[in-house]
Amino acid sequence: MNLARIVRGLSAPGNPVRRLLAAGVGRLVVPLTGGPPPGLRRGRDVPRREAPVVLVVLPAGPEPLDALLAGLARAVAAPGSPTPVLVLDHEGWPVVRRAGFALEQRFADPSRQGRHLDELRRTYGTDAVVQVDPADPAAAVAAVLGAPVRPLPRLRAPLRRIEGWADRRPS
Amino acid sequence: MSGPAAPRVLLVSSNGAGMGHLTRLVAMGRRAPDAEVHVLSMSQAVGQAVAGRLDFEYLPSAGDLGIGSRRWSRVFERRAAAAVARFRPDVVVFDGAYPYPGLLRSRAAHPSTRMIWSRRAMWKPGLGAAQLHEAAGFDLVIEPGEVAAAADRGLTAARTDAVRVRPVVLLDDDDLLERDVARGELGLALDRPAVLVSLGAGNLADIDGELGAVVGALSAVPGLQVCVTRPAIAGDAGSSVGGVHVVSRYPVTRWSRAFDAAVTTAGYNSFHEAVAFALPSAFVANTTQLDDQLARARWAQEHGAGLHLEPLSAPSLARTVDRLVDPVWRAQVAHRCRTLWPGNGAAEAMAAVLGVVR
Repeated sequence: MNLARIVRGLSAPGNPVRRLLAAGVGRLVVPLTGGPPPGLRRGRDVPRREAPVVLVVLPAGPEPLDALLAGLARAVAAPGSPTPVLVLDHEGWPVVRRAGFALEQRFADPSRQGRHLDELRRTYGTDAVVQVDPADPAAAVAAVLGAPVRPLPRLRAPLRRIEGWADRRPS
Repeated sequence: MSGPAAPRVLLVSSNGAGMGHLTRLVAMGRRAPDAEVHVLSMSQAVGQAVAGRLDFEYLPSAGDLGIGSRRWSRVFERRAAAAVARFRPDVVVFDGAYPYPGLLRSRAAHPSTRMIWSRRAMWKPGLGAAQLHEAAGFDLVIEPGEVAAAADRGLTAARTDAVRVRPVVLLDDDDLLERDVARGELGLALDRPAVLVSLGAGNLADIDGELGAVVGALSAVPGLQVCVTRPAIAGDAGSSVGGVHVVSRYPVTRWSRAFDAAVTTAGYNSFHEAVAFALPSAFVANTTQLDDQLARARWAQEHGAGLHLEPLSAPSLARTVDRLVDPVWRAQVAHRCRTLWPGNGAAEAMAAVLGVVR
């Protein structure tokens, strides 16, 4: 059996090795990393591959968002800057949507919110969570800009490619 | 001794072109007073649609995140599975054109959970064969009724796998505000006719666009009050722009008695609400993936239940404006709608859902 035949066999869409590989790599690669992060609607010309994602958590209540959103818009304009995902009550969603940022729901129940943030960390591949003080939106923007890049970003891209290959559906 | 536990119902809506999927589910959910209902939606309008009435959870769609469907499917599957594990529903009701495999897979961990597909009919001819196969993964398919069913040439039309109920709309007659009250709340004069234009997003000032063309033509009619809906999701406040009233209320149907006529899309909800509440309307067929809005709009015109409007066609627009301002035509259409409307099937649909778990 030559190498080409082995590779062809492993490459077959229904091959169990391929399925196992897809499942295994899927556990290593968080769902939304390894490719462009969310929020691309706001500027496709900005290179964002592997830019860190920051969860920006707003407090309860109808706080004015203008200053925060303006600050974030300036902060994320630079190449390689973090991508914020705003976590807030639904009343603020329209204005965040208009500003072009990705958003997630904030839950009032602390334990549910805690579990939700854990899931969002996993979803977006981030450890960076910024709690917004409405009285000081500039501090939140500064914290977003200072967000650390998660370790191993260079490793995730090739893993994502392997995952994409392993997960490819038959054409 | 306590009675049996309330059934737990998880309503899952995809994020379609409008709010149709979510609205149908909410229509069912609000008619289940004895059930514990939770909504999981990919629509950012979910908060506006259900807050204060039903518990809800928003799961961003692929479009909202700006990512491809394959990457999004992983996120969806994980979070849908988490929602099912947390809420432990007796039954999951999905309303959408494309059942997500990840949702169906979630029952592997919860085999006692029943799965129901609320499958709107009127698919474009020849489309949707792939997702029809997914029907086998559901315990029940419910088909919300379609007033224009005679024009349905889609793949679901000849199928017998669904429980058909009457058309599902969010509100009943009793939920609507009286004309004067509704006009007062919207700031409209009581003594002049008013037309509602509800075509979704668009630029009022762009006369080359559908919305701008329609609003421009209606605004030229002396004395006519022209109102334009802005999707609640867009967040505009109710106001007046260049003499045009902007209405941002949800559900706007609650104020529908304020209007003498409407220009709206031929989507399932808009169309059936117009017929249900006898609001003489001109229907614009939006281009959607699966919903055959053109067939619905044409059927309305052929059966005296409204007009089919092609907004960018000057003759069609002129004809439509002439009719909308004609009280005799409006009375005829309203009468026809009352004879066509079979009644709201939302409670029937919910009864079918609960029948699966009782």
